[in-house]
Amino acid sequence: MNAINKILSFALLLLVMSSCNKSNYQDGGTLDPVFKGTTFDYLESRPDVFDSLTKVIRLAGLEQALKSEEVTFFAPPTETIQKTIRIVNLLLKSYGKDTVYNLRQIKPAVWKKMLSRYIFKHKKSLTDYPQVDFLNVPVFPGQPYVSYGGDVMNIGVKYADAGGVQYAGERSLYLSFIASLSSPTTSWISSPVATSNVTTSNGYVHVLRFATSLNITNTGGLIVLDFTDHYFGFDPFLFYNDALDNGIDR
Amino acid sequence: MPVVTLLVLAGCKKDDENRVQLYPDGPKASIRFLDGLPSPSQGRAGTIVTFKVMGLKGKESKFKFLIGQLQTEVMTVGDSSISVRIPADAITGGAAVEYDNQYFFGPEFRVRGNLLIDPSFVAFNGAKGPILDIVDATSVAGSYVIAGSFTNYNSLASPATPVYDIAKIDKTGTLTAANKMLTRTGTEGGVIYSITPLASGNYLASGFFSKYNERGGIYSVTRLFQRAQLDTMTVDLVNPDPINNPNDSKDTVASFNGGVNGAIQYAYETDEEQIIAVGNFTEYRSNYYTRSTKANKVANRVLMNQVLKMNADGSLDSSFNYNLALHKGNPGGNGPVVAAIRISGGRLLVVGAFTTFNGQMASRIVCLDEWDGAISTDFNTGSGADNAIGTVTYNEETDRILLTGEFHSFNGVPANGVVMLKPDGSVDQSFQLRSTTNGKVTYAAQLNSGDVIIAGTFQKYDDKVRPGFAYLGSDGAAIQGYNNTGTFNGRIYKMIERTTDLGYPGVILVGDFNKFDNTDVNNIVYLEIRK
Repeated sequence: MNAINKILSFALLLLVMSSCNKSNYQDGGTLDPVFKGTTFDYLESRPDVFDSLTKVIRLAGLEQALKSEEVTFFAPPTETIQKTIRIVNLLLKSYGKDTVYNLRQIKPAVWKKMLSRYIFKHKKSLTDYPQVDFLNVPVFPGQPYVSYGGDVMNIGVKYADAGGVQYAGERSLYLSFIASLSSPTTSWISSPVATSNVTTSNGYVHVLRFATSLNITNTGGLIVLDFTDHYFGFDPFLFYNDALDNGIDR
Repeated sequence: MPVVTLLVLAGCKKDDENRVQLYPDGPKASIRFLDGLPSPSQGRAGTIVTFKVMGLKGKESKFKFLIGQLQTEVMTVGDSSISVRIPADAITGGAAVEYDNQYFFGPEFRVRGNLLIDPSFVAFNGAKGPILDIVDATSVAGSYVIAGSFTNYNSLASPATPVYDIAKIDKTGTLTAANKMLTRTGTEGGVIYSITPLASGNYLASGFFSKYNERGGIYSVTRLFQRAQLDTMTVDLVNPDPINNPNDSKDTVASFNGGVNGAIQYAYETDEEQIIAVGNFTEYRSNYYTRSTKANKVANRVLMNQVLKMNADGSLDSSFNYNLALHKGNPGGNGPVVAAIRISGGRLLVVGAFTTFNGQMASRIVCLDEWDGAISTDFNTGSGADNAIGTVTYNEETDRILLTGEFHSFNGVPANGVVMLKPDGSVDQSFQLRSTTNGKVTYAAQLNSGDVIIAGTFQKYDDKVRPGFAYLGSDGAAIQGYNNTGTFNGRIYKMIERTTDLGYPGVILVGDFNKFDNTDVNNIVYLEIRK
């Protein structure tokens, strides 16, 4: 045992000494979180993630708001829009209706209403939002804000635990849709932010997380969704109702 | 070992302990509701209520104080309190302050109205799963049979007495102790859409299932005894190996030998004790036991679409909706059937998303003669609905039909997704649904008094906050004093009227919902309607 210890410590010393060689270390500098351009320019610069989103922004007529107004934008990536349209199509199909094959078919008013839930007329980064604890909402409720379109949305920062110390760990941002204002703390549909604090010339972009699989179970004609995933407009059934109410173009 | 110690010691040099705070402290809210209920915590419109809240002093006229999303008149603002007057149209709901584009939510205030949950109905834990139908029990007066797709009721199921898909409840909303349903396994993953009391006192369960109480060979419909045991019979079968398996020459099967290859939405018994079933199917099916073995049942198959009539033993009545020349059923609708109901004059009303029925124009609604299935000539809806119809309800007392759906006009009359019809199919224009915001009406039914209840996903009715539920007069206007209930969340499938113990009219609502009047409920609730 003693022999092993000696060998181990020697190996460790060797490792420490060799890894501390100055010439092997390259300083990458600090990452610049500031994007040179507007919020909309940033989204356009990443078509791999925001292709459908930029289309939706144009359809909703909110391009100018994301270019010139001071806003914080929680960006839902393309997959969330794709998934929502797939559910809309599933529902349309079940009622014997033609499906949506182009985002243009859904009326701009619907896009605007849904997209407005992600835009806030303030400039706030992760550290500017209060704490939210989903298991202890009465004490750490986050903060409900009126969104660009007038819907009330809750924004909060979740403090993770670290090393057994409560709230000492990493922090992550959550955007929650308050589905019913009559039960404002129990009707949340929450979506976590994957990338926060992308700073642009007119505000912040926080990119929402998305799931790549479509978790839908269809039992006896009842469609059951997994709400741990994010859908565009938060509730795809409401999105479907609105899209249908406003008429789907052919 | 000494090397490691040296290393550890070297790492503990004082100037390396430069602690950087990774995150600054989070911001604190400027306005905060304190713990505790408002005083008083409930009352009628006009009551002055005091809430405990910090941080409003000095912000007068910059904030709005809301109760149930309705702005209230602020009386006085103190350091840690505020007094407001409850407005006339208030609903039960949480208090909230809107200030600087931020919301601060506070405790709930209950607005007392004339519509309230009857406390004597103790179905607090309700059904674990949707209840799709409720009917009067045939055996015990004042009891009800509920059916649907649930696995427990009021948490009263036990391994010895399980509750699956069907249960008998008494007037207090609990399982009847003396007359329990003997369900065993229910439909096993299936669903009962419709339960119908039969003249014999038994029940007919129909929906979408192939098994009931472990007994297979069922085609979405079967007959149950009063305590939900399957009505069975013994049949002779072909036994290919009588020497080794002598028991295979007989089998116990459901005695109602008939059904369909899809789902039955609605079924009922006619005055001649025949069964009419409506749903989405393309075949009638029954088992041909004379040529069946125990393991392999041979099915009779007859092409029948959406509507058919069966005799009491389950055999097909070929005089109904059947083309004797082609030896198959009529084509039915060119789209799905969603709901159906029997109306006055021995007629059957079928609604859905079709535009033709049996080759004739029928805009999402068709009325069939119960006798032979022909399209009824004394029910004319003209151009019908311009989009799918989702539900249909009928009140025998008032002889009126209520439809809900995705349509915007009915027979040329503008209709915001709800329309009332007379028994001849014409629109009863005395009922006018007002505007709904942020959602649709998914259920509408008329009470015997003529009043109408609607439920759905809407948040506002007639521009007033009515989250999901509204109590309307027969003209479609919300009646003041009956619309103070808070959030309703879900969908109603059926209602049944019953007078309360205090002598008021009441109504039991069943469906797939978890909140009524901002109170947690589980798919069943009993309302008292104070007059």
